[in-house]
Amino acid sequence: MKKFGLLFISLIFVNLLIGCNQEKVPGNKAKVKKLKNTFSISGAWIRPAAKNMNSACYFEVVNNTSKPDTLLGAESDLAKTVQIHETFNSGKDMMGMKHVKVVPVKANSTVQFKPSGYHVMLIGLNEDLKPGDTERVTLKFKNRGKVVIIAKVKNNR
Amino acid sequence: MITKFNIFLLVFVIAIVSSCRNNLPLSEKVSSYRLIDQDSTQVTFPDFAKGKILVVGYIFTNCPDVCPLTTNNMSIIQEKLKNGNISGVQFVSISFDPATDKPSVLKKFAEVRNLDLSNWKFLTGDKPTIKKLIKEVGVVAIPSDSTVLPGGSKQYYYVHTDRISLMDQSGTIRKNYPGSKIKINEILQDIKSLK
Ligand SMILES: [Cu+2]
Repeated sequence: MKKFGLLFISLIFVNLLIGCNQEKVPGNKAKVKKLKNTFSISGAWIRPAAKNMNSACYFEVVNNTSKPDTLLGAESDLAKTVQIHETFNSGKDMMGMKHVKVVPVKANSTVQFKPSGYHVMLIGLNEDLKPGDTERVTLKFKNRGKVVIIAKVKNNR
Repeated sequence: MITKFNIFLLVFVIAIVSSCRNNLPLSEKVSSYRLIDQDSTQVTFPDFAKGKILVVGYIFTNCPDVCPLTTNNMSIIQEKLKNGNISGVQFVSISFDPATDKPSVLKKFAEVRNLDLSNWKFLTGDKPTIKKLIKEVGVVAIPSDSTVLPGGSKQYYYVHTDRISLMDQSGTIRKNYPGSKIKINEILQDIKSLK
């Protein structure tokens, strides 16, 4: 009888272990030194996509200054049209995305452009973007003006 | 005393059995659909993979964010199965935007991502067939926002169900997951429990 008890308790334990087995998602956040009075874009990457299709560019806007700014848009030779988009969940696992005109960047804050959130959408690519490629995208800020970012093309989560 | 202990054990057996059942809560048999793959070959879904476990994602290739995430997750699952020497699993990505997603478009979508198509098919079909199929499996796709490109062509973006389905060897859906946010270990365990 005791043997059975032990067996069941270990079964329950295994069950719990399986239930708690959560995937660790590797972050692609580049380590950014929190330097005072700096405004930087870090960890930029682009998803691979074929010519005439669409892709998305992700990064972090790190504003360690006391001045707010606003991202007004982006431009790139990579695509026919470049827009700021935001992915949204409209309930019951229904996902969509919408065009966003501007993204405010508060003083001393970080704004993440990441999968399932904000992205700079590259619409109608002029060429294939393959893993390993390095590309340029220009971000347009209200106060800082144009900021060119270098983004690596990679498959990522 | 022994009777009490027996009841105690019985309760736990039931709890364990039912928790195992809940791992694969669905049992939805899917009808047959004549579709076409990325090489323009006719495929009857899900019959073509009879005897195999199916991991099915629903996508449209103009999607830059959610569907590539789902596709990337499927590629991670495929690689983990390969590394674990687990065979007998077929991957399928079905487009719910057949007007755009012709076989050649699907092929490029897979190629540019370096996907391994040895056990992965990208499927599309005629509009009525796709419409019927996604309705049967409970995937909703509604054209919403659009972009007009220079030159005048218009692209539609769908608000759509974020979905990966797990089907067993008889073509029956056993579980649905949010495709872009799926927990890789969860589906790996579920696949193993179907072996
Ligand atoms: Cu977008």
